[in-house]
Amino acid sequence: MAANFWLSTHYKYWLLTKEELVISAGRQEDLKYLTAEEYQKVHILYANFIQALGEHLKHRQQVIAAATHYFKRFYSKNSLKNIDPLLLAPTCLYLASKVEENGVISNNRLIQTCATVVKNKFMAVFNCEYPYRINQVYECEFFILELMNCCLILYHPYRSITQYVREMSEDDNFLSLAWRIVNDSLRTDVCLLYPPYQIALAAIYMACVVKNKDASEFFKELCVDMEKILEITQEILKLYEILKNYDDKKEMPGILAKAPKPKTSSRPSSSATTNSQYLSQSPVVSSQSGTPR
Amino acid sequence: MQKYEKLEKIGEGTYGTVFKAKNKETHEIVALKRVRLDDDDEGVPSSALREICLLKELRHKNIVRLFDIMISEKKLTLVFEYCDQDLKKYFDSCQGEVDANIVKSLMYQLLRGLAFCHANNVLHRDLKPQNLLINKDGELKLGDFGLARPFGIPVRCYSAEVVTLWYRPPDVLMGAKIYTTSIDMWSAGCIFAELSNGGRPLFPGSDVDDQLRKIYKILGSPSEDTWPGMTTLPEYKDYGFHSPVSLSHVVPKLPSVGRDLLQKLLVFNPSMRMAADVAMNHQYFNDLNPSIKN
Repeated sequence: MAANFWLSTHYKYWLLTKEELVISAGRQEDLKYLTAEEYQKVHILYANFIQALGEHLKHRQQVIAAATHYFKRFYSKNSLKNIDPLLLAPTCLYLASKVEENGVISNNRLIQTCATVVKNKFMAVFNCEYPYRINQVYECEFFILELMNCCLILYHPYRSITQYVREMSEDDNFLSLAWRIVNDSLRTDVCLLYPPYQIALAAIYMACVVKNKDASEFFKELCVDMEKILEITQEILKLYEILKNYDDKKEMPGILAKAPKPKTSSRPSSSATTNSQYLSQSPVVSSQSGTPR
Repeated sequence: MQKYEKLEKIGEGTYGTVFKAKNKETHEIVALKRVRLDDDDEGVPSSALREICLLKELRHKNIVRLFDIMISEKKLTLVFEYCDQDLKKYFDSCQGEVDANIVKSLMYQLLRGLAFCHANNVLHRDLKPQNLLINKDGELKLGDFGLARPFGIPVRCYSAEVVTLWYRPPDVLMGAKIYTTSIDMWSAGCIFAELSNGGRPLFPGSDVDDQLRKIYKILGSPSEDTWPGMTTLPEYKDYGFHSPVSLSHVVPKLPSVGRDLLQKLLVFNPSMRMAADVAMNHQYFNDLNPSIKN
């Protein structure tokens, strides 16, 4: 579904302003416990987690990107304490795989994959076995659907990137560099703030700088708002600065310990049922009411 | 749920029961579709998710309107615009005779809804009279987008109603996996003939074999000349030679210009099937009541 972005729910309801992000009650709550950089590191960690789950399940990058985008939407309105991100992450992937027509993951496989990925790659970070079960994923799916008011169709920068790169007659090498920059951008807030074509152009702009290519003509002809492109570039550069010294094993356990959590301090044990003990309070639901008539 | 008062059960959809209901405040009549959730299955069914998210993006007068989605604990209820009947019930009520102007109007609206879906890269994939809703003003709306997904043949059947083969194109019947908007255009052709014949289905096959035989008996058997690549389809079978029957015998009430349109929709080779936006400009619609065109 790649019709008209300007008529989509993505454009109408889900491009936020920086101010909206800053004043979001959920984020303000989280920033009482974490610095802005620590908060971003939490998102980096979970974007990496979603990426690892998706790769393990052999999902296309679009599905992984959609899941990460849903995850960011949820915490743009909610505090980390509303739902444990360790539960929300696979739920977002599960939902994205259904929406992006990737075929349904069998429910055993989802939880098994979580267990394997946590064990093999994130044991030092989470310091526990994967604690959730499929019924909790189902329950969590409802919260994310409600928060997004079922606006599930996303526009990704990938399609635009492929188009632009073709227009510039650059090679696959260039394309994959720009593509990777888009993947990285999911570890920032840009997908919540800018239309996907601008993110695509920012990635191309950065790829040009890396490859020492002069693309000023290309950008001039496009008549885009270069200021926006540069803002996105700044966000991504800031990310790379953080990633330089990012070592999840070393610092994430400490950051996660500080982060606000659902009130029941212990995560549900493996015998837990679906009694919502991992939810401290009802998550914020979408402020937009229904479909405008 | 308090917002609506259930009036009566309308039917069973792909993934849940549909009720007619009244908004207690505005007294507006709506259709409520309760999504059935099998606890240990797949959470919210992917068919329901597809329908919800597609209909949230598609807004058109020939596509059923999704007003709202109500989410409560373990319950998902979709609030749709209410239509008085579907095309199948309409056929039952008109006893084998649909007025030629109504045939034209309904067919035009079907094509217009499809053209909009296709322009938005959405394939319906499950067009049949039960999924075409008609309101009291004679407006037609495409409904039930629950199967709007790439391999449109339902993986499983939730309702007791058997998913029909009758509107499925020959390429899909022979196992073609990559299909495009052409899948809906074949179905539109079948429905066009059915409209003209007052509700008598054109190809009422009982299984895949019988379905293909019925198609061949009327349209003649295709060949590699008319449909290159046919014999390489995964489930291609030879059903012997059939020569085509004149469409004037098949749809006797349809004028020749209408038969020409039908002929261009019921084309074996999917790449040669007429597209919805082109079909809307076919001369069959030249004398369409202008109030319908806008």
